[in-house]
Amino acid sequence: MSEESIISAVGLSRSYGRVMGLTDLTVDIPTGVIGLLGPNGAGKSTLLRLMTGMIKPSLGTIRVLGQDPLSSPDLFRSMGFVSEDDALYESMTPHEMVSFLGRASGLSKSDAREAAHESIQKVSLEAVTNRRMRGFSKGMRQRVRIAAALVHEPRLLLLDEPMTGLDPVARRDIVSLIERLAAEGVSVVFSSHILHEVEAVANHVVMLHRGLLLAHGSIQHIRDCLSDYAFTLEIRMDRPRELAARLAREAYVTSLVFEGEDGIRVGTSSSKQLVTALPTVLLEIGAPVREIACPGENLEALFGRLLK
Amino acid sequence: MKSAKRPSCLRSLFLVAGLVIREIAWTRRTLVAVLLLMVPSALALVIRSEAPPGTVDTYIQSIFPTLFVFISALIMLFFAGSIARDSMDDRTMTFLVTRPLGRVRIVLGFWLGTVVFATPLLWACGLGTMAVASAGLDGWAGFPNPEAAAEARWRIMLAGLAIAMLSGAYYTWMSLKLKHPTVLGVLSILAVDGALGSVQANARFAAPTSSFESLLSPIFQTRGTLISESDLDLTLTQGGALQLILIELVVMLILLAKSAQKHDYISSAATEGS
Repeated sequence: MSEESIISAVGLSRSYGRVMGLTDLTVDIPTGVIGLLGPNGAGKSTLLRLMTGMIKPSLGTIRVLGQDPLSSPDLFRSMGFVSEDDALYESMTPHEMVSFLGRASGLSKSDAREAAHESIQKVSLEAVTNRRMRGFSKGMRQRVRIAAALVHEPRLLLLDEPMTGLDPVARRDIVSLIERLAAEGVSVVFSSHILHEVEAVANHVVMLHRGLLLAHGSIQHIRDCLSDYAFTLEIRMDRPRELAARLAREAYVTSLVFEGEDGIRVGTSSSKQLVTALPTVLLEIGAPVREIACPGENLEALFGRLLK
Repeated sequence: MKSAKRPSCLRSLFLVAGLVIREIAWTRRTLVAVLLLMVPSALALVIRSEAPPGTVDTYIQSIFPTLFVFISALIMLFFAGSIARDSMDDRTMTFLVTRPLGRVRIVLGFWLGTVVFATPLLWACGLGTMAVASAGLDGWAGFPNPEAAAEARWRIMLAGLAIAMLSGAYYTWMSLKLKHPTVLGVLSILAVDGALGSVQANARFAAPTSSFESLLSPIFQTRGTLISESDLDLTLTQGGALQLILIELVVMLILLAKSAQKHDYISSAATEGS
C-alpha cells in the first residue's frame, strides 16, 4: 500500500455461490474523489461492501486506511458509508437516527446531538429534522443516510450509487456536497453507472466490468492508455472547405461533413494521426479557428472503447 | 472535530439493545406476541366462568406450566429469531456494522435487547394468568398458602428469565445462520421441545424446555412429573436445571460470538449480481 493510498486491494475476489462478484482485483486507490464506474453487475457494490467489511472476501485482502475492515472496528471512527439500499430506522426522526449513529460512532450524547444537528444542516434537511421518516421522498431518505454517514466527521466517505433514483436537483446537491467534502479534505469513493456524473466530480476512476478491473487512474491517464481510436472532431473556422480539401487526401480521415458556412465535422479512424497532423494543416491554411470540440468524447465513449 | 472514541463494551451493548427494543416495539409481530401471551390468561378466565369450581386450580397446577414454557419459547422465536435477520434483510444492519461497535457486541446487543424486551412480557403472561385465576378468591389458585403462592410466582419469574435468555440466544444464533429461522424454529420447538421433551427417559433433557419445566416443579406439575410412571426421575432439581441452563447459555453465547465474527452482514441473495 503506497503512502497516499486510502484503499489497497490485493488479489481480492468474492463469489456468490457460482457467480463471481469480483475477480482478482489488485488496486491502490489514492486520496481525493474516486469514482467506481461500471454497469450493473460490474462488482461496484461488492467492492464497497468488502471495503466496509459487510461481506468477507473469498480470496485476497483489502485494507482501508491501512486497516482490515473485517477485524478493525476502530476503522469506522474514520469512515462513513452510505449504502445503495433504501434502509432507514423508520420509527425515528432524522435527528434521532443521526444522533443515535453519532453515539454509536463514539460521540458523547451531547456531542452526538450537536453533530447530528450540523450534519443534518449539511444535507439541508433542517425543515424536517424532527419529523418521522415514514413518507419521506427518496431524495430526503438519501440525505438522511448521508447525514448519518457524516455525523462523526469521517476522513473517508463511501457512497454506493448515491444519485440513483434522484431528481436532477437532488443529484446536483449531492455533487455539490461531494465537492464541498473534497475541499474539506475528506476522501470520497462513490459508485455510479452514470458516466457523466463520475466524470463531473471524480479525479480518479476505477472502472469495473463483470467483476474485473478494466482500468483505473485519472480520466486523462485512461485516455492516454487508449492512444489510438476512432472519433470525430467538430471545428468552427473560416474557410472550412480548404481544410476539407487537405484532409480528404489522408487515408485516416473517414468522413467530412460541413455544418453551415463555418463548421466541419471530421471523422477519423486514427485519433493519434489526426491530432498530430491537424495543427500543421491548420497553420498552413492560416484560417482563424474559433473552436475545436470532440462531441462524443466523454467518459461514456471511453468506457465503450475500453470494453472493446 | 468532536472527540470520538470507540464506545466501551457495555455502552455498545446498551446502545444496540436500546435500538432493538425500540425496533421490536414498532413491529406488528409484537402485537401478535402480546395476543399469544394473553392465551393462558384467557383460558383461565374461561375455565373460571364455565367449568366447575376447582377446575382452574388444576389448570394452573398442571396445564399452565407447560403452556407457559411453550408459549414463552415461541415468543422468543418471534422476537430473537427475526430481529437480526430482519435487519440484515432490510439492510438497517449496515448502519451498525459500519460503526466502531464491533460485530460481537452488535450481535450480543441484539440478544440483550430481545431479553430485556421479552422478559417483562413473559412475566406479565405468567403472573397475569395466576392473578386472573385467583382474583377474588382467598389466596392464589391451586396453592394452599401464601408462601406456596409466593414461591410459585418466583419460579414463574425465574423460568421466564431463563427462557428469555437461553431461547433468546438460541434463536438469535439461528437468525444469523439460517435464512428462515422462524420456520425452522417452529419445527425445532415441535420436534425437539415437543416430541423429545415428552419422552419418558433422560433424553428429554436434550430439550431446553425440559430444563425450564424443572425450574417450575415440584410446585407445579409439569410433563416430567405427569408422565413419569417408572422409577426414572424425569425432572431435575432446581439447582441442576439452573446449572444445565447456564452451561447451555454459555455455549450458545460463545457460538453467537463466533458466528458474529464469521458472518456476512447482508443477505447473500440480495448481494448477487451487485
